[in-house]
Amino acid sequence: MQRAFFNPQSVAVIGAAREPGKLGYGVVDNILRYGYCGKVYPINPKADEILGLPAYASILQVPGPVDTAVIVVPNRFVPQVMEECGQKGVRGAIIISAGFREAGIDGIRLEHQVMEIAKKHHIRVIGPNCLGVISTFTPLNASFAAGMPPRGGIAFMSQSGALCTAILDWALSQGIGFSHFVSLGNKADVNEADLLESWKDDKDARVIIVYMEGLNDGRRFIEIAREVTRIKPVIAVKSGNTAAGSRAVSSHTGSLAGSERAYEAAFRQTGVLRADSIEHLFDYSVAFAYQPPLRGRNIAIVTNAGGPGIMATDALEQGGLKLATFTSETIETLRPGLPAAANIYNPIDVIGDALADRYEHALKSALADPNVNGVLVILTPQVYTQVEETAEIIGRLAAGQDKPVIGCFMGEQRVGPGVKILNKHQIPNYTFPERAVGALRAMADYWESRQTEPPKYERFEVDQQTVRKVFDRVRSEGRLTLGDAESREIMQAYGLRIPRSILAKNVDEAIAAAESIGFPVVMKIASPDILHKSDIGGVRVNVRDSDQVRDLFDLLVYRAQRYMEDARIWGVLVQEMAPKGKEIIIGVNRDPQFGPLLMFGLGGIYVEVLKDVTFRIAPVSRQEASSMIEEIRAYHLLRGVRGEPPSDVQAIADTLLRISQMVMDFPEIVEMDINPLVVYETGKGAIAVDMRFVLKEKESEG
Amino acid sequence: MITLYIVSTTPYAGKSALCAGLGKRFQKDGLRIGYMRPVTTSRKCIGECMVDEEAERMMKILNLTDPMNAIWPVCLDPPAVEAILRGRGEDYVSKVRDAFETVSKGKDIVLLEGGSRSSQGIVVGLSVHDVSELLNAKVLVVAKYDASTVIVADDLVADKQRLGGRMIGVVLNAVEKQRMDYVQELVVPLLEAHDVPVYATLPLERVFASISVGDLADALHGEIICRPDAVTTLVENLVIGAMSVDSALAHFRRKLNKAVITGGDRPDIQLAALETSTKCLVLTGNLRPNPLIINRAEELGVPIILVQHDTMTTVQLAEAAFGKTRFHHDQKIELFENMLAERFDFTRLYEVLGISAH
Repeated sequence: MQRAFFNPQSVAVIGAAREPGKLGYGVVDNILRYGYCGKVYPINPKADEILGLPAYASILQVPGPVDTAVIVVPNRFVPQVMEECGQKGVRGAIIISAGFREAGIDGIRLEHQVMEIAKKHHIRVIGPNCLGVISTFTPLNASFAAGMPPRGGIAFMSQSGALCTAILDWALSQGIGFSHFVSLGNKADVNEADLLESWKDDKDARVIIVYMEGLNDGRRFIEIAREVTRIKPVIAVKSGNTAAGSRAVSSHTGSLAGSERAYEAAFRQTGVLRADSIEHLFDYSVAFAYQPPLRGRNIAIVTNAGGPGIMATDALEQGGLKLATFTSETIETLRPGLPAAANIYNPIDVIGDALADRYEHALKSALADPNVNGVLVILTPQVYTQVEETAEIIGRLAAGQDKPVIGCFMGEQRVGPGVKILNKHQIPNYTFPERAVGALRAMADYWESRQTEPPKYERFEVDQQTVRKVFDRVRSEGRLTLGDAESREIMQAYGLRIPRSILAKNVDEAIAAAESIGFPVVMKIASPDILHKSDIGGVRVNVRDSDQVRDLFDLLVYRAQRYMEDARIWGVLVQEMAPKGKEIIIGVNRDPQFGPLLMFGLGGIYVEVLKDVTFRIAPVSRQEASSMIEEIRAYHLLRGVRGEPPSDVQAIADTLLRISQMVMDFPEIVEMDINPLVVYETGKGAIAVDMRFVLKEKESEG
Repeated sequence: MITLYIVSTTPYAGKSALCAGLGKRFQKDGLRIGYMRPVTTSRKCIGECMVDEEAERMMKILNLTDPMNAIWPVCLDPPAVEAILRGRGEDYVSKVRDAFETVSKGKDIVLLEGGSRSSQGIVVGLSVHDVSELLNAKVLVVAKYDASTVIVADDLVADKQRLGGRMIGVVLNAVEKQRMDYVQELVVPLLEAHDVPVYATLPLERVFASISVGDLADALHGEIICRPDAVTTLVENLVIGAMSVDSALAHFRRKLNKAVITGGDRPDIQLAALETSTKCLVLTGNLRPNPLIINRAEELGVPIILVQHDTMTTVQLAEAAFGKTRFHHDQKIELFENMLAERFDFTRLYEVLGISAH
C-alpha cells in the first residue's frame, strides 16, 4: 500500500492532458507543482509533451517501471487501461474517472469488470470516482484538488470526494497540516480498514480521521481498528444516523446500512472516537496531532476572567473531567507571583489586568504540578492583555512538555494574531471553553481506552451437538422460529438455568409434578398447535396447592379445546415458578454490517419506556459484559437501593457471555431474546423464564 | 377399460394434482391412459381458438395427443349458460358421450377430471352422479382438509350417500402437518366406518400453495425488470414492506421464500428484503429502483416485478392470485408424485379398480 499509493518511485498519469482546465492536466500539474521527486509519465496517445515532460501513447511504452497509475480517462477506456497497467506491473491504481457504481447498472458492470482485471494482476485500487490521493511528506499530490495542505500529523480519509475539497479549502485557511489526504470514492477495493492498516505504522500519521457513510465489512473494520487505536487515535464522523439519513446512505452505496446502535457499539468496542460533526472531528484531531497525550482526567485552568473560568469548570465536570487539586508546593509557588485578589486554587484566575508574565508564572507552576495531567489556558482580550506575548510564552512553555496545553483565546479580531502564534507553536486553540473541553475529553477518553486490556474471550463448556440437532430439525421442517420446548433445550445446552418443568398428561400426574417441584407453580397448556398460550388463557401463574392444580388442569384443557377444537393436547406443563427477582432482558439481533448485536437492559418499563439499554457487538469479553451492565442508568437498582440486597451481577455477566458464545457458535441465529431473565441476590444466580429464537434460512445472510 | 372420475368437494382441492400424479403412476405401471374434462366452466381465447388452458397443460404433463375438442367437450361459460337459459342449449349429454368414445379408444384407463361440487352441471344432466352413470365411472373424491373435521367429514359422507357404490373412496389433501396424527388416528377410522375408504392423507406443503414469479407478474400486470430467467421460481409467502428497516428485517426474517411488496423508492426495505429469504421483489407505484438494487438482485438471482398499482391494490391482487394457485409446475409435480409414492395406497386402489400393474 505504501509503495502503491503513498510513496511510489514513479507515477503514470493515464489520460494526462495538455490543456489547462482539464482534469488530466490538473493532476499532472499537481504532481509537479507540489514537488514530487520520483519519475512522472504522462500518458496520452495524441501528445508528445505535457508540462515539459515527454508523453507516451500507452503505459506499456514507458521505459522504466511504474509503481502508481493515476487514471483519468473516460470510464469506458478504464478496463483496457487497467489491463495495460497489469502488464506493466503497476502496484496501485488511483481511478479518478467517474461513471461506475454511482452511475447506474452499466457503471456497476464496468466496475466489476475493472475489479476483475485488478485482481488478476494484483493491482490495488483507490476509487473509482474519487478526488485522488495526497501524501504531503513524500510529497505527492496525485489529485485534482485545488491546493496542497501543509505537512502535519493528521491522516484523513473520506468516502465523500466533495467533502474532501471543502475540508481541504478550509484547512488551508486554518493552516491545519495533514500527512495523508485520501478520497476513497466508490471503495471498489481499498476501504477504510485497508487505510487504517496501512497508516498504523506510518510515523507521519499521528492521528487518523475518517468521514464515513457506511462500511463494506464491519467485522474487518472492528478487527483492524482495535489494533490501530492501541497505537494512535482514530476519530470518525459517521453520517446517516437517522432513518432518513440511513435510507440516503442505502441508495448512495447500495448496501444495507448497519444500525446506528451497532456503529455506536463498534466505535466504543474498538476505541474509535466518534465526532458528531466535522467541526468536532477537527477540534479533536488538532489536539491529538499537536499535543502529547493527556494521561488522566485532571485539568488545570489558567484564566484572566472569572466567567469563562466557571464555564470551563462546568464543562469539565459535565464531560467527566476533573479540576486538578494542586499540591501545597504549587500553591506556595503560585502565591508570590500573583496579586492578592487572584485565585491561586484551580481554576487559577490571574485577573483581568494580567500581563504575559502572570500567565507565564501560572502556567509554569501548573505544568510542574504532578497532580495536573493537562492545562487549559483561557484568555479574554481585556484592556491590558498582551495577546501576542502571552501566546509566545504559552508556546515556549508547552514545547517539550509531556502534558498537553490547550488554548482558549476567546474572540476573533483582537485575539487573531495570538491564535496565529499559538498555531505556529502547535497549540490548538478554541474560540470558546466548551469546545476546548470537548477536545480534552476526547484525549482523556482515548488515553483510557488505550489503557484497557485487549478483550479476552472466555469459552464455556457447552453442548453444541444438541443445539445443532434442534436447529437442523427446525429448518428441515421449514420453520424459522423455535417452539417452547426447543428453546428450553438450547438454553440448557448452553448451561443457562431455566425453570424446572414436567409435562403432566392427567390431573394426577399434574399434582404429583407440582408437589415434586414445590408450590407455587406455573401451569401452561401443552399443545404444539397453540402458539400464543397466554392469549387464550392457557397459562396460570402462582398455583398454590393441589386443589388448584386439579381445577386448573381441567380449565386449561377445556379452554384450549374451545379455542381450537382439534388441537393436539399433550397435557399441561407444570413449571417451577421463578421467585420474584429483578427482571432483565437480554437479546441479540444480527446486524447486516457487524453481525450479532447483543442487547442488555432492565425489563418492563426500563426497556419499553425509558429505552435504558446498552449494546455490544459479539463476541464480548467479561470486561465488556460488565461495562454493559454498569452502563445502564438503572444499574443502581441492581446494586440495591434502600437496603435491598444487591443483585447477582456476576450471573448476568455469565449469561451475557454464554449468549455471546452461542450466537458466535451458531451464525444461523438471527434474533433471540430472553425476556425475562429473573436475577436474584448475589450468589443466587438467575433463571431464564421465557425465550425466543429466530433462525435464518441459509448461511448466506449476514 | 376402467374410468376413474376425480372430483372434489371444494375448488382448488388438488384434482389436477391427483390426475397428474395418478396418471403418471398408471403410465409407469404400463397402462395406456386417457384424460378428459367432461364439464368445464371457463375457456380462454388464444389466437383464433378457444382453449381450456388447464386441459392443455394436463395433456402436456401426461404426454397425451388426443384431439383437444374431445378433451373438454362441454364448457358452461357465461355465453353457454345464457344459451341454456334462453332454451337454446345443446345436447350436452351426447357431446360428452361422443367425446368419451374418442378419448377412451385403445385405453386401459381414462381419468376424468370433474367439477368442484358434486352438483356441478346438474341442470344440463351432467352432475358428478350423472356423468359417472353415463360413462360408468368410479368416483374418487379429493377433499382439502382446511375446514373443521365436521365439515370435511359431512361433505364426504354426503357424497357417499349421493354416489353410493360409484364412489370408491377419498383422498384427504393439504392436512396441516401438526394435524396429520390427529387425522390419521381419528378421522380416517371414522370415514372408513362410514364405508368411505381413505387412500391417502397428504400433508400441506407450502410449495403447493405457492405461485411462480411469472404467474405473480401476470396477476399484477407487472413487468419483470431483472432476472426474467427466474420466472419459474416459486413464492410461498407475501410480505409487505412499509415500515422502518429494523422492523422490516425482523419481519422478513420470519418468512421463508417470500415476495416482498414495497415502494420503488424504498432502497432500505429492498435491501433488507434481499438480505433475507426473498424470492421476488414487487415494487409498486411504477417507481424504478436504484440501479444498485437491481444489480444486487441480479447477483442474488432475485427477480424484480415493477407494477403500476399502488401498494394497497398490489397487495389485493397478489392475495387473490395466491388463493388460486395452479399445479402446472415441474417442481410441484415432482414433489406430488413423490408424496403419492410414499403415502398413497395404490395396492388398495388397484384392487378396487380391478387392475394389475403390467
